[in-house]
Amino acid sequence: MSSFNFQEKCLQIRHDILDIFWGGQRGHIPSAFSLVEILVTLYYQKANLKRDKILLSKGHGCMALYAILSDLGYFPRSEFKKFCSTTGILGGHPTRKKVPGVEISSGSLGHGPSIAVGMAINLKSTKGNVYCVLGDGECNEGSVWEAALSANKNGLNNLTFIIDNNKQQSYGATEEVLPLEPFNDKWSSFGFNTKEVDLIKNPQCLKGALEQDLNIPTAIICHTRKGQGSKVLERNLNWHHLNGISAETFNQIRNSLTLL
Amino acid sequence: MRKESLNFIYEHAKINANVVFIGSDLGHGILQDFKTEMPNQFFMEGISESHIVSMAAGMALTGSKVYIHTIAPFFVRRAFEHIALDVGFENLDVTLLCSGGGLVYGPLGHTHTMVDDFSILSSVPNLKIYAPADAPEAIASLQRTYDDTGPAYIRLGKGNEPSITKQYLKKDKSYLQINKNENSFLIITTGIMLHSAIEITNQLQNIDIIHYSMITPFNLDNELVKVLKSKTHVFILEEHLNFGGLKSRVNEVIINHHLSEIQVFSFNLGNQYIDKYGRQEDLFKDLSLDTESLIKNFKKILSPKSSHEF
Repeated sequence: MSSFNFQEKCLQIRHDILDIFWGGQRGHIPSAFSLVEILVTLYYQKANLKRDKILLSKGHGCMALYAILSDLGYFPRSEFKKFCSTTGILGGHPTRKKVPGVEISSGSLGHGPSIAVGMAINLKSTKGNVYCVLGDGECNEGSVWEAALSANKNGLNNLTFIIDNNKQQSYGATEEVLPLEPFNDKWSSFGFNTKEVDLIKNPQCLKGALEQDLNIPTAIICHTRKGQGSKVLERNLNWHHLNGISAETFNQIRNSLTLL
Repeated sequence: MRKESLNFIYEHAKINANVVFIGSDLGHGILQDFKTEMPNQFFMEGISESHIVSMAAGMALTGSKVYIHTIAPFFVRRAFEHIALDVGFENLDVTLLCSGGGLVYGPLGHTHTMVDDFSILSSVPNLKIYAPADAPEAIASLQRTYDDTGPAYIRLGKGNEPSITKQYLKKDKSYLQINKNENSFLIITTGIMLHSAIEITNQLQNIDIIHYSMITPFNLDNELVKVLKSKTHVFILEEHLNFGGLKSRVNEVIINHHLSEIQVFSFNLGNQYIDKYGRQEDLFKDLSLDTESLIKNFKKILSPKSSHEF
């Protein structure tokens, strides 16, 4: 890993996300882009993939997960061209039994945290860690907070909820649709060692925050931007559901990708 | 049958460290020995059924054989999506042991009665649905889940039922055949309605009984098709709404096997949630599902001048 270049890897993953999108002519690019630094940190820098579990609860960001799993050799890139088709294994939300490397099926929001709690209980004895990545909008779901209560009750110091706080959900700004603030206080009051990292200003800082320093579950609020890494996409809500774009628009997005 | 069922889980947890029990804020002191002796296999979570179902999925994904327990409607209705997606679709080793099947909690109202579980859960992939009649059959159902590795739902009836199934239970069959006198009339039951069926046949002695403790998948072997073909009248008894339960399954069989000449009469809880309070036996009377009313109706149907429809 000494030659590992975080910025280059993130850029490569964003290019791959675009390839996946182009293969299926659909997909939530902005939701995948805001996840890239989080998942690259987990998969390439932090997790022990033989021992730990990484759960993507915000399934609609799956193109970032697919790009990484393919890069790590779980399945060939040829699957990108079959995205969302009857002949492929990659869909608009990930299915565990179809896609090698995917730990849980997701798509309906708010399920991952409870599954993560169950796994963390079992992995405690083997010192395995469970990282569950959720969206900020996903935290509208009551089941997220049921899982948070349970994580606290069961003393799961091997469990980390990582929130991709891109501040946008389908209809609009998270703070307008259903305000979450004071978000940090909410997690703290549920018994979590709560941290905040700014992945816009400092894209590589999640790694340090993942060190477990207290004997309680951890929540890391990652400040990101929807569409992060592309000036064309960033914070433009229209892109969340935009499918079937022209080659010209696609190339515009491709050309707008930058190192962060 | 609840007590015996919980004891089954406790005893099997002792011999299999992968067996885990999760309850949702159950009664004080329940399974205290289990909690004390095997604290790593015993979890009493809060009033959070959706969470518990998915937590069970997470444990099953990492090696556990999970039994979860609470009152039926709170798993079946509230946590349905978690059952369907995280447990059923994933085909995980999670058994939902649910008390209060049917009208057991009739005095507590429609939020607590479980009248549509067969219907709701029948679409869940891979899920086996059991409705035992008494403790021996509940234990037999649990043994099947223990020997199996997929998801299951067990509806427990009112409790303290007399044991009637023991002499008929066969390890390789998920149904019981009682009487087998090759009569033209047949009662098909599930759950605790077997008790009524036996009372009926004690008085009207020319009726056979087939009882299903597992209604999904509805296991109809050749032997049973043969039995059905010899019947003129079939009576279906179930503590469930009129649709989506045993009646629907039997009708499907009748259509698939072109048995349309059989007259089918269904006795059940009707078409709507029960919007009344009352003890199970009183509600049964109200719905003409008590043994006395059933016998009266059977007699009417079986009388030569009958033209009743049910």
